[in-house]
Amino acid sequence: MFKLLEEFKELIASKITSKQLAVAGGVNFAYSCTSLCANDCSGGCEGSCGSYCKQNSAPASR
Amino acid sequence: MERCITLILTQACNLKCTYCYEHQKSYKIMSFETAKMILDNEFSKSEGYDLTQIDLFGGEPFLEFDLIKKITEYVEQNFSNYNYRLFASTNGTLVHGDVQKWLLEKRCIFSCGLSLDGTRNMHNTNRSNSFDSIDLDFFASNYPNQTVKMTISVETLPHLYDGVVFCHEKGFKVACNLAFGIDWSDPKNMTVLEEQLMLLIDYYIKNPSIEPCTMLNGEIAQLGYEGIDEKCVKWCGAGTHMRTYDVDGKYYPCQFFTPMSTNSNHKYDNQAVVFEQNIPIEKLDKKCQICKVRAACPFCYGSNYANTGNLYIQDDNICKLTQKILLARSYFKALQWKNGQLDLTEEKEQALLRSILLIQENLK
Repeated sequence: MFKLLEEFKELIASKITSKQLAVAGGVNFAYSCTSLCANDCSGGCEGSCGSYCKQNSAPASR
Repeated sequence: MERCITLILTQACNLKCTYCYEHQKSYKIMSFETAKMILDNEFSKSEGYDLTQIDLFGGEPFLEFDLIKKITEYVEQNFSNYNYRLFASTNGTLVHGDVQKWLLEKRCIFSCGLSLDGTRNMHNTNRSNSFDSIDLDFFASNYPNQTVKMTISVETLPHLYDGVVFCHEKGFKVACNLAFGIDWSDPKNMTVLEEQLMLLIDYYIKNPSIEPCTMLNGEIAQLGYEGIDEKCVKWCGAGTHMRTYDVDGKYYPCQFFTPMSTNSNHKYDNQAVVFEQNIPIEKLDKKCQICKVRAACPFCYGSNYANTGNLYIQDDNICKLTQKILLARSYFKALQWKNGQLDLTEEKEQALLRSILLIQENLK
């Protein structure tokens, strides 16, 4: 299950047009809880993990 | 940069959830003096942080409502020069009457995250028959951007789809996790998960205005960048931007390392555990060293440590689950892309398409 048909994969491949960008080229994949946390820590971290569980529903104090 | 300071106000809880990983709970509570000392110390080291999130945790933190009020008042009175926000993770059963009234008064600085495990039957199966003790409308109307934390147990797995849709219909966004302890090497469990995820994918494709649950919506595009497989970066802020204090005021990298959470065989040793931002690949398990989708694996240092005694060695059972979720996610995002349901920059689109193919080629 969840495997794409070959035709679909070929369609996707045909749409890849630009050169692959390097990580160093402005994309920061170093620590970034706010942008990278995959939201499924698989263990029920119950909100302790920085930003992911907390969707900034309260504005900050200032 | 944000940081998160977690205070475990109490180890006690008024529920006994079937999957709870806090096996060593007690009735100990944090004193106000201890809380003040921690906050004074932490706020004195605020340089470089734009925002301090103070997370009030348990057990069930609202068992100590008076302490919550005192801490909030103390923060308001003493740290008004800082940018902060308070948050409590709660089972919701004690959030009524005066508690609700107080939360509404403090809504500009204080928010709550609710644990809600799906439909009434699902929730009651997992969470001590507590469904009818929760004022769902209060949480949905006052914290509309906050996901509910929905944990799926082996008993409720066959109803995953129903539970997620129920939460959406109640007005919630959903952060959906599989509980520890489900055996993913059992093909029956994996088949049920696949069927439920497929139903959810179909639901979200037909309802593109609903924000998909985190299990399907998580990011994979990072896999589409050149050189990402040569790095292994630390995912979360455990030990650096996240700091947790147990009821006695003792520091831990996150709540998974506290004695009530860890396996007694893997007691946390402050000196032995060092968090590195860029993890040397040779420190990883063999299977992780050669894994092509490593950069999208949300491996959790706390659960690794609790399960294996090593920050960088992931439990094989969680690995199986993660692979299946990433495969489902790549399939879902491919359908969203084909249907024009993703709002992407050209760069992000190219990275995503590469990542979809990479996952499809490497996972089964």
